[in-house]
Amino acid sequence: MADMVKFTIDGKEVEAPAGELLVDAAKRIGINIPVFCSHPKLDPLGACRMCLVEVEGRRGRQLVTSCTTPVSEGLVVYYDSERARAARAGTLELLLINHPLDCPICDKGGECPLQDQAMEHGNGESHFVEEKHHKNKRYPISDWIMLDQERCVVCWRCIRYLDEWEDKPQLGLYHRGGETVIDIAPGHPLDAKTSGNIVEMCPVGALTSRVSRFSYRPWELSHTDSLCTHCALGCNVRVDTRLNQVKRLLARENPAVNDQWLCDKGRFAFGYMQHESRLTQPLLRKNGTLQPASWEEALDAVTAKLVEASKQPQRVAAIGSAKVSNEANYLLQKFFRQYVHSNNIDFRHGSDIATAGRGIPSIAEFEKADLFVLFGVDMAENIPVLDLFLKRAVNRRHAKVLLINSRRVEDSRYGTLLQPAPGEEVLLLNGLSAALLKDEAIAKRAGRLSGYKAWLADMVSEPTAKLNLSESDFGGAVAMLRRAQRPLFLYGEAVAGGKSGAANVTALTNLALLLGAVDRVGYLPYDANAQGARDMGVLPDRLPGQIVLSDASAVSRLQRQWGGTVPAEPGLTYLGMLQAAAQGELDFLYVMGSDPAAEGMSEALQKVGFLVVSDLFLTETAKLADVVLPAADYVESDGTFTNLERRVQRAPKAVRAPGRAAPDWLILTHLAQRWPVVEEIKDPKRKKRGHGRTPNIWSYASPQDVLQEIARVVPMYAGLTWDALGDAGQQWPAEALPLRPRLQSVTLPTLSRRSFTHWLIAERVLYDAGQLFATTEQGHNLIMAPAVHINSHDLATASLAVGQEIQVTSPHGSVRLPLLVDENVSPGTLFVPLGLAGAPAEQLLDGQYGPVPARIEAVA
Amino acid sequence: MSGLKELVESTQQLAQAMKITLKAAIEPPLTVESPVEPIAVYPRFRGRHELRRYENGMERCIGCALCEAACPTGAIHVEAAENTEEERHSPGERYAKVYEVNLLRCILCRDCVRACPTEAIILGRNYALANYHRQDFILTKEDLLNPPEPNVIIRVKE
Amino acid sequence: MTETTETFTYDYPAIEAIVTRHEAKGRAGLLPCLQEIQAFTGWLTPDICQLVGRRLDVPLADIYGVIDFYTLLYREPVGKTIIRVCDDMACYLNGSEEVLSSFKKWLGIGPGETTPDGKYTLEVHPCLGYCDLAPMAMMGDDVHGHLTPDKVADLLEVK
Repeated sequence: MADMVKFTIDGKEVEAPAGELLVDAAKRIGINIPVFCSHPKLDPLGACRMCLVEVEGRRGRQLVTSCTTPVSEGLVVYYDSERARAARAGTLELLLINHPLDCPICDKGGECPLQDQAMEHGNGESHFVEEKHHKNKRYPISDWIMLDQERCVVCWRCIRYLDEWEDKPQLGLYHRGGETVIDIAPGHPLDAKTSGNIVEMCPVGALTSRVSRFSYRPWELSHTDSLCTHCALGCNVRVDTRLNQVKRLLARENPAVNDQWLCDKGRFAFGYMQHESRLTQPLLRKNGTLQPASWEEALDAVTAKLVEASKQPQRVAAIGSAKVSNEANYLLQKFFRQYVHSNNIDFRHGSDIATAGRGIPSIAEFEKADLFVLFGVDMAENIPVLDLFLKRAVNRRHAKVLLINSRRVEDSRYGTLLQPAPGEEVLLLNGLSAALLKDEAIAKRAGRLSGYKAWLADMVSEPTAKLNLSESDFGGAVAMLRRAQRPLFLYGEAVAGGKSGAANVTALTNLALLLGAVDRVGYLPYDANAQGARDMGVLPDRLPGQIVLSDASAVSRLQRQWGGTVPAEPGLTYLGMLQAAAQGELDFLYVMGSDPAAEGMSEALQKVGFLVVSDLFLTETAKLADVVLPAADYVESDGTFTNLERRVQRAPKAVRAPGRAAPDWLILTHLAQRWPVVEEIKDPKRKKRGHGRTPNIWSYASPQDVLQEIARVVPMYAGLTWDALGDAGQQWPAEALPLRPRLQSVTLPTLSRRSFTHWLIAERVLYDAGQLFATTEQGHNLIMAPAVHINSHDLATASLAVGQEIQVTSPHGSVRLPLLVDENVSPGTLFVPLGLAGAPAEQLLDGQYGPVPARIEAVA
Repeated sequence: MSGLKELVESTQQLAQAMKITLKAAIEPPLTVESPVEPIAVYPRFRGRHELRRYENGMERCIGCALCEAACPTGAIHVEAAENTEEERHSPGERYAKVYEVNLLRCILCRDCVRACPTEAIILGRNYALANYHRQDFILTKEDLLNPPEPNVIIRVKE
Repeated sequence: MTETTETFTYDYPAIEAIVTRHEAKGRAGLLPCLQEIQAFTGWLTPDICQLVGRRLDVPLADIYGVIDFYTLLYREPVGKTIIRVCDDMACYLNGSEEVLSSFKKWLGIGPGETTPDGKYTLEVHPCLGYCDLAPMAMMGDDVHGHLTPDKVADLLEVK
């Protein structure tokens, strides 16, 4: 607790912690000193002079800026004195000299601090009658943001945000005096991934969003407190709608999640919500083509096929989605377990990913950790807002960063990067462990694990030589790890998936164990509800609550809740299903909000007996389907999502779904109500059977009903209700899913390049060509063009030229791509981003991440 | 005698009545053959809405929606868009892509006119607002920009 | 800006040497570094700005901000000799308008422009600190005081 001091404002005595800024202390007692440049998240500057107050000093009463003056004992402040009022009115008059006063056409008009303060503190009339300065209006500084230099009051908030948080100072002050303008360096538009935050921070209408430009006036909007579902962080947003259309998304402050930031994808890429290509009615395959049908027809067709197929439940499968709500995922697995008796339930990045299923320890950990070990994670591309917290930790708390990645990523500038070749990550991690074990304290902590130690020492004798790493980098990394008091280990799907995923994660866990930080190992998933889908039991071997199928008491408890029996045998994983499909072993596949066909799985899906897809768009998978069900987006239905720190948050309905699209929970409820068992139960002549034998009838009237059941069934979600979730959500404690980690030897994955010359790595990028992003027109230029990234050294060896079309071949496919020199890619590897137009990377992969061997050849 | 008195009185009353009748009979008629003949309105008569243009043909309306905000009955609907070099509707950056007035809601209070920063919307003098279908009472931007010439005579202030 | 016909050819090793000399100072070395480079090249090209930014670890937007702030630093091509005519109080009262118009007449350009041969750039400046010599102008670093239209013609060697 900081020392408290007493001071007075306008005669009122105030107590505040010493060093608190005057403007903040005044706010707490209800005096709102007007500000422009001052912002709670930015360092004090004192640029706009709007917050002038009088302070008793040694030389009498002086005007000071309250946003830069810390309170001290006995300070005497006059806010409402004549001189202070006149000073503020004068400042406003000066700020308005060159302001164009085009409020009627300004997007900020109606919620503009300059407008409000001019009304409250201004004189109403100006002494200045001269011609105003003319500067650039309608000046795009990036694909997202429009700058109007005339409206700017030069408060520097945008400059400071980009400098202090984003650490990409791409805006600067140009010229002098009354001609001062904010500008970008010529030819260098903003490319910061969270640049949209400056639009929200701008206290005037100088920075406006190009996506929602002129499409609303603030007073017309209805507000819904919701979430962003573009990534796993679950940033809190406010959805602003007008006449059933989403007009803009704003960050909603939640100190536990996104503070008050949003990334540009989350803020601007909402064009998909009301895009004309959304599905608006069910489609049914008749005579080989998909034709519009009624819901009755479509659901009857699905039920008829499914009833028939369920006679062989092992030939029925369902793919859930980490992009849809907990409720939909819960009902999907319940339907298939309870009625169809199949455990063939999984989602992309589900059981094929090696993870403890607990996400990251907590987002707040970013404010405490002193070492971040980023293993196969590109935070700037995948979770830009979390990346802000990392940058903050590095720049403000001097936290260290150790990156283990086969490719240089943006965060490489903050620390040491160890670049193992694909497949050698385990060797590197074991090398680090072995080096750490030379430290006595650490060896002591490891205890009597002589077997492990001997195995380790045997395995990694000369890691630097084997891995082709510089001795100083490796030594630096070891020293970093040894010194760390509170390390945080993070790994991504790029290393946790694929053939070597399990080994990678075990090796990282071993390293964390040696440092006594095993509870600070976190997994960063890509999709919004990756954690929730796990918790809901959309896994072939786990029931809701991530309960293993062998847990008899939990299973019987679930059977009491559901009625009926739960199948005991683990089902097929996501990849297993697709492999089974390719073999023609699937009679029925239900795909909810997932698009395996876009990842080179069309051939397998064509062999599925009956394919049902529920999605927002006519995806590649939907094109192959027998029945396509139009689903509602998350803003069109109530639902809850669980983010990467296990925080359950709610996303209420903000707009109506287009046409006859319906939310997934409702679709599944309708399917369940058509199931023949329902008729059987309703039949009065039915013999009274033993309790728990017959599945219960579904009678959900709303997603809240489903959530109620989830709260009963899923132990971690016990007691959760829609109302109790509130605006901030609730986090379930990691201890609810206990870990029993111990040091274990890791079998080195056997990856071989065979006759291929390179390793191909594929990772997600923020601006991909997926429908959720590409449907926002303004983002089109930002979508990465399909290309294969290659190091200049490899380029020279292969005697190829930049921009040349080349043939990239892997054991799984072959595509033609232009070459792009990218020094971030290490020699011997090729990088192709995932999710680009034409899905080049997906065609080369075998359905999972992780490196695949590849070679490149010039096209003749 | 009462009979005579009655006769005189009734004749007087009849004459008085006939005087009014005959006077009205020779006066020109007060009724107007609307809409064939023009009607006389006061200068500040508030009739059907009109959107005005500048002399160079540009629309005055900038789509700021202040009229919509001011409207007490929610009769106005505005959707704005951005002018481009190829397609310019108004002098500034912004114009009204959609501008609709619902005459069934409008109470002709003139608040929209007062709210307008560019004096784009005015209440014209067209009073003949009857229609056969409800949807015809919604004036589109096209209707508002091209108002029919009202058949009126403006009264001179006495 | 009028076009300059002549483009400077840069001696990059020399520029590199200047940058290297100021590198250790970081942002504090920015101004002297830019001045020295400009003395050498005449104006600061985008690639010079990028080089300086990278080596001194200063954001590009900041460098351009500094260049724009100081009128003596140039982001666009200028003539070999820059003529700065003072138009502040003392010079104005002593006839700086005539001096300026004769410069304009002889050079055929307006303030802020460069002659087509790339020899001169004409600028109007506030007080240059030689009020005792009013009206005055600077040609490059040389100060010329008590100017008259005739003297201007002599200076430009046009008679």
